[in-house]
Amino acid sequence: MTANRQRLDRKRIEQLLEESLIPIEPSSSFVSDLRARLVTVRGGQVLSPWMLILILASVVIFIASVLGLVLRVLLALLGLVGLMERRRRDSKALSA
Amino acid sequence: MTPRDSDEMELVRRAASDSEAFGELYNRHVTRIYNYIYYRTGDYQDAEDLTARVFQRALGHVANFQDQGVPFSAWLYRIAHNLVANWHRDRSRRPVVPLEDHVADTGAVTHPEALAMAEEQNRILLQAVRKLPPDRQQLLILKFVERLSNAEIGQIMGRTEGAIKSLYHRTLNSLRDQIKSMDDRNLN
Repeated sequence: MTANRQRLDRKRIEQLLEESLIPIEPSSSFVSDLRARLVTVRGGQVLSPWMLILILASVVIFIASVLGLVLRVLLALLGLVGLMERRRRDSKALSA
Repeated sequence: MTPRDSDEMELVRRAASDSEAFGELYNRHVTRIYNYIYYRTGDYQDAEDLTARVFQRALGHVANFQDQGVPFSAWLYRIAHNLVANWHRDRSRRPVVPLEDHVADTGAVTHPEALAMAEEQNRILLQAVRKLPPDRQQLLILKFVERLSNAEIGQIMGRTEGAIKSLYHRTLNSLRDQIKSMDDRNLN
């Protein structure tokens, strides 16, 4: 280019570009490491933030429902015990 | 749309939730994105770093990709283009030592003097290419490194085939002027 100062016509520039702009292969270790990193990141991103919020909300509702049910069962048991106690007292009073 | 394009769109749809599908897309495009970034930056390390960032960003946003008749590669090139632009902006704020260590092996030159001349020619040409505006650099890389047709380049760059032809013509003219001025400076 510099040495013989040949005329740079369109064909010559295209020829120079073809000689200089050649495909480069990235190193195989870079390609495989990056692939592994990308796939691992995706593996760690199974739960999206919305999915996480949905799961948390479901867990809270489930726990509240279970606690409500347990409370009702306890109240029913207490009521039953109270009823049985009153019946026992009433039958004692009648026999006396 | 060719069968390969529809196959690729299917992969893109699956890639939002399937890491293997994203891996396949990665295998198909990593070399071309790396080449694009390498010729825009001229540095292997930066090319690797930016290529990794392109695919990390693509992974994060692949679920938002919408098929508008533009190939997936165009989307990746756009990400790469933006990251390279940021990279140039960051570098312009810091002192830079230009690195031009890439030498194309033409396979024909063996004599040391001829080899040195070919290296010098290559160095000047790559310097001149990197002084062109980003869209012209992109056009040359897609045309000569990727060997894409004007129509394919047009799809990637969002222009018509005619506009690409015209841009190519103007690019060669400005490249010739650039090389001439660099040559003149070297002789003085």
